[in-house]
Amino acid sequence: MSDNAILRIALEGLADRMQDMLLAAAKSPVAREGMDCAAALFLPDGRVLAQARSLPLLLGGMIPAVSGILARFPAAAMAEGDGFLTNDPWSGGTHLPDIILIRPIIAEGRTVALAGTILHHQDVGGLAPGSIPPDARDIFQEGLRLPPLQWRRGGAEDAGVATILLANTRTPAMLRADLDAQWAAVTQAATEVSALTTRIGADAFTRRAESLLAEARDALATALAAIPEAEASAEVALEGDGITPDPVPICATIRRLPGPRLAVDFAGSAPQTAGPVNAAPSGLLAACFALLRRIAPDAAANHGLLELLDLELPEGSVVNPRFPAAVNARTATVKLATNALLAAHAQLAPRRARASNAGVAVVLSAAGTDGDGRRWMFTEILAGGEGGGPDRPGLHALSADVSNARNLPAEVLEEIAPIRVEAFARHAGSGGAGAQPGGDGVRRAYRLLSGTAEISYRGERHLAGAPGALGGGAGGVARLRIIATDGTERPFPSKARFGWMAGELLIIETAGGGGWGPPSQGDSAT
Amino acid sequence: MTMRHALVLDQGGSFLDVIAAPPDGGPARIAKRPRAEATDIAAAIIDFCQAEGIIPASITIATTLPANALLTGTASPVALLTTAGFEDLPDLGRQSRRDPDALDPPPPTPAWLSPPALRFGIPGRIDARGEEVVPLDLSTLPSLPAGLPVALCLLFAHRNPVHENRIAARLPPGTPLSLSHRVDPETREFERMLATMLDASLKPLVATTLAPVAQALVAAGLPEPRFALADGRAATPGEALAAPLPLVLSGPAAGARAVARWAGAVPFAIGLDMGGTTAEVSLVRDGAPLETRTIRLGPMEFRCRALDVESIAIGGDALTQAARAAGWLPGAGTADAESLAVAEAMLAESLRRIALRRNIHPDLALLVAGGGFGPLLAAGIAGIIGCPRVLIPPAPGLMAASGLLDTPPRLPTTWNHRQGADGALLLDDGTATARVPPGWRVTPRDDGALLLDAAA
Repeated sequence: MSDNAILRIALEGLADRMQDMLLAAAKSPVAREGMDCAAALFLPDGRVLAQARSLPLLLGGMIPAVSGILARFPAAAMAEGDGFLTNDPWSGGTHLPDIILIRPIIAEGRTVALAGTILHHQDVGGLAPGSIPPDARDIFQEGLRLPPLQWRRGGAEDAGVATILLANTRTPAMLRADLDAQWAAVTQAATEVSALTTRIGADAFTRRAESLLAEARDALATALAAIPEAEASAEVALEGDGITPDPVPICATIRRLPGPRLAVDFAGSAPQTAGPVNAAPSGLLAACFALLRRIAPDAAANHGLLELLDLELPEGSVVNPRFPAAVNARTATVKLATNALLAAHAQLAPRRARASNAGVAVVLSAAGTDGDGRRWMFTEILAGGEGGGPDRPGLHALSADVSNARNLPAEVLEEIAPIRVEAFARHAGSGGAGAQPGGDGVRRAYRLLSGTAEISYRGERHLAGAPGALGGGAGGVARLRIIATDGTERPFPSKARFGWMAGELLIIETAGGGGWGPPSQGDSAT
Repeated sequence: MTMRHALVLDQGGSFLDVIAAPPDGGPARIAKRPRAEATDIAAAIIDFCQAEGIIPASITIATTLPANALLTGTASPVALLTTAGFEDLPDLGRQSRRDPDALDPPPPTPAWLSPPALRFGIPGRIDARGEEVVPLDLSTLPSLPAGLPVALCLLFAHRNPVHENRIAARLPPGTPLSLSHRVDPETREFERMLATMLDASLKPLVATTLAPVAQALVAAGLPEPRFALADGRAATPGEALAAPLPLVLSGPAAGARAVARWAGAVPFAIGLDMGGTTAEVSLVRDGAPLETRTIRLGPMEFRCRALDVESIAIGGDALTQAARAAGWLPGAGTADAESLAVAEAMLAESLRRIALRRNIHPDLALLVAGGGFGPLLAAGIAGIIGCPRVLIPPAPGLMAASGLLDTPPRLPTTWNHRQGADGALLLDDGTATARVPPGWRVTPRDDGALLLDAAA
């Protein structure tokens, strides 16, 4: 085994351990239980070197944010114990709750690498608790925006920055603890990589790191060479932008170019929207990274893959919005863009692909005050079904492709909030019919026990299910409603913010995956 | 009067190893038999005691049976009784994928374990403070097929087990039953439910295969045995029957304990315990084996305290012919000797990955190698991963078994030397062959261990 391969294993192992540290120390449920956080290592120029096996949506999204920080704070000027952070979608960030933190790794007097983490914080202000208002009209309604700034200098915290951060969140204790968890993870990385470079030398470290990127690039080139020089497109649409119900199309075109290179173009996608379904470019880069990983699964997940990618994101569109667009509900946009990319890829490289997964992750923020005046808040992420495939049915409730969020256990949720989870079950019959049926979404029923609460709900696929493949049926659609104590039912659309009263039952049903192949005679279609 | 020995037995994939250590620290008696010839553990122990003329003071047994039953899906399916509304939880899991790059993630619960028709929701609720908020409705208890193990996992049972206890009291006497608040009294309902279901699924196996071992030994006038656990401790037959899940990976854990002992005071050690079927890799930091709260067994991942051991599906049985052909083992071989180099390279890559993922760098670590096949490949692997030193304990073929003893045994060892065709030195003590390739220097120690050092 080569020295490069050894370095790759060591750095990927380190990234995984950073991830473990985030999960062990984070306090907010969406990070600790939902695993909405990620860790990676970068070269001093911002190219990604190694990633934790965690959440592709955030891993890919961290790459431009590191570049954004470096544009303001060059690596050459960084010193031991410095820490820099941002959450700014126009500096490479994702949406405001995701704070990216990097720390330089210094060896032989220079920055040889950067350790980075990204974590979805519980609340960074804005017009709704949880900072994901589905009806936000601009970034200022979404919370505190942090352009790249220096948070630590020589290990010491900048008191001014810390004061501003903690003054602009509804959950200062959680933000404090989660930021500390991020710092502990990058500090561990700095310690380990410093020890490694002391043994092998900073020059050898840099040389081997460059080789790792070149190897990944070459592996991708080999995989791309097997795809014909052609073009394919796929289109998906969001069911409204949170303000109006008009469909918001997302068009993905992939083109295999000579070289070989891969061009991805989102021309034809909707103009940026008034509501918050706009996705900053970082999210689309994450989607592309997932596609490249699919094309070359054995290549290391580093920046070498991106060297062969030409990404076009039309300016002022839903996939590259201009300041000051609202962007918090980007998750569905990125998930559906990923579906479109994978569908286009399946046309160019026809193989026995699975039917579409539900293509959406419901993100729910709930905040309230219980009967004794105690305030509570949580955010959770609910998956839909996986698509059926040639080899087996789809799995139920699976965080597929770019997402990898975990659900929030009822035993953790009920500890946080005056809620009883009355059911957590399969959304029966929501998997698309087929020779291999799609997996079911989930059905979750929550009773508010005391006080009042406010819900921010960001869903998708309330109107049309995930398409089936090769004659398989579409997956069932998602549904959201509240059942009042007198039995009356209030349905809600796929993006909604509403109040919730004690005694009322909130029921979320997520979408199923598409079926694969025609169902055999006698199977009932769903 | 006969000395009362501590007797241990390790049933691995291919062999059954026995050690009897006298209390005065004198030389231990050992035996190694092919597993296929000694399927009856109790008979093997009774035969050994008669042959050696000893009556043991204690007996400790490690066995692969429970882990194999879970890996092959031959453990029992279970009936699940859970809080109404959560019957589908085995299919939902935590909705994440262990490896986000894997295109074919396993379901959160193996299909054989929890058939949907055997899941039942019981009305009743305990809340997060452990208070009853909905009374238990016992009228909905289903009548279950006799003998089928039952896993009972109610929400917040770890805070207040009253509902689990009341249901348990209503089940027919003798029902194999696992209660979540006993198996895994920790928060997060899916993890507790999965551990409880796996625990229940092993109960029939333990009752029909391990409990009779204990009865036969006692009937023969021997002491009641203890069964080794994944965290390095041991349980009485009663305890094992009541909570069988920790029995999985007991042999590998014993191996990890032995490795840690032999590693002694070095800061880092990697253990390689390679028998006929698998190679077990353990890690030692500052003299203590690394621990974990999560066991990964094939596609399964479940909550259980254990020593941190990873299993690689490469064993000596498939390599014996090649080792003979290469002249590493006596006898004529029919297989291509090249497969030894392939096996060394594959094991080396696995070892390196396992160690580095835990921040143990092989070039700073001691490699402790045992099992029937480990000593033959250890120096070759160490050379590839940059381990400067290899320790091969005395009677290395019984290394894992020796880890079942509470105090390290004195193992009588005579290393017979011969020169291999390829310039390597081969040392055989009857339990395993150690290979010292060219470029390595061997130093026998007074305690019978071999130290292999790479030439500078």
